[in-house]
Amino acid sequence: MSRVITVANSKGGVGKTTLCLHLYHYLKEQGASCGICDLDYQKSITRLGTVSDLVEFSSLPNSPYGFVLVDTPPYRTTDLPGLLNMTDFLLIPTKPSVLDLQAAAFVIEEAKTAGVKYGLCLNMVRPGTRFLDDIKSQIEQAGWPLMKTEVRERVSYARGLLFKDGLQTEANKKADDEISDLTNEILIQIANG
Amino acid sequence: MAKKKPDTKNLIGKALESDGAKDDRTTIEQVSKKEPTQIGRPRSFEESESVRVTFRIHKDTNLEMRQAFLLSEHSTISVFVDELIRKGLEAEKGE
Repeated sequence: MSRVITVANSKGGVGKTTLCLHLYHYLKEQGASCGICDLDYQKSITRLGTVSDLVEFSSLPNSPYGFVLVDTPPYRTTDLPGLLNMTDFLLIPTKPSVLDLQAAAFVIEEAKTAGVKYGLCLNMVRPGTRFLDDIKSQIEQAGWPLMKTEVRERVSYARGLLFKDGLQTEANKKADDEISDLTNEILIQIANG
Repeated sequence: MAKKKPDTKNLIGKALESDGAKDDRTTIEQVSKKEPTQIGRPRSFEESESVRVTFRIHKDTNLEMRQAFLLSEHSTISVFVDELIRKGLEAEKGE
């Protein structure tokens, strides 16, 4: 069975698709067999044309790939419980914003119901602000698991999408390190079962 | 001294060797049999159909639902749309 990593947040613009693509490129670069299931009805990944390993929803979790990353639509979908039932790890990207966290809370409830491992990932972070600390404190108070890796706001993430190997051509070490750290965190969660 | 980073290739192997977080994962077919309404959108759904579906929402929904639709936030609207598309497709199948 494939290891299924779902990237979800019912809020749009939190960076689900971008993170999904960079995780995919990094896993492939590291020699993993990896595919993407594009469940976003905007079909951004499919249209981009840089991903050859597309997986149909109907073939989950028995795809030929070791890992399948699932990009999800930016709204509350009734498909989510079925998907989470097949998910090994749910990554919930969120900008450091109250509104984004509000939306993430819905997905977290779904994750709890499905009994799936999940982690919030602060994305598009501008470090060193008091507000960032406030948001982290809110997450801690809520008892939500937060990924240690913070993904900063970098042009490289957007530009890297233009290339078939993502950040490799873009060659931004800091961005590459963040994606590498995030991937490792997810893999550890899956490996620990 | 720089902190040593985990070896991703090693972690990939461990993740693949592990039993997985969801040992009891049901396959898509099993989920379909168990809870047909929880399953993904029919694969034949095309973007072009969304225009027709949007029309159906305005034409067929009652006043209460229309008000809720207009007043609700984006995510709630989406749930409405999702449900209505599903109902529309089911009704179409039954015709």
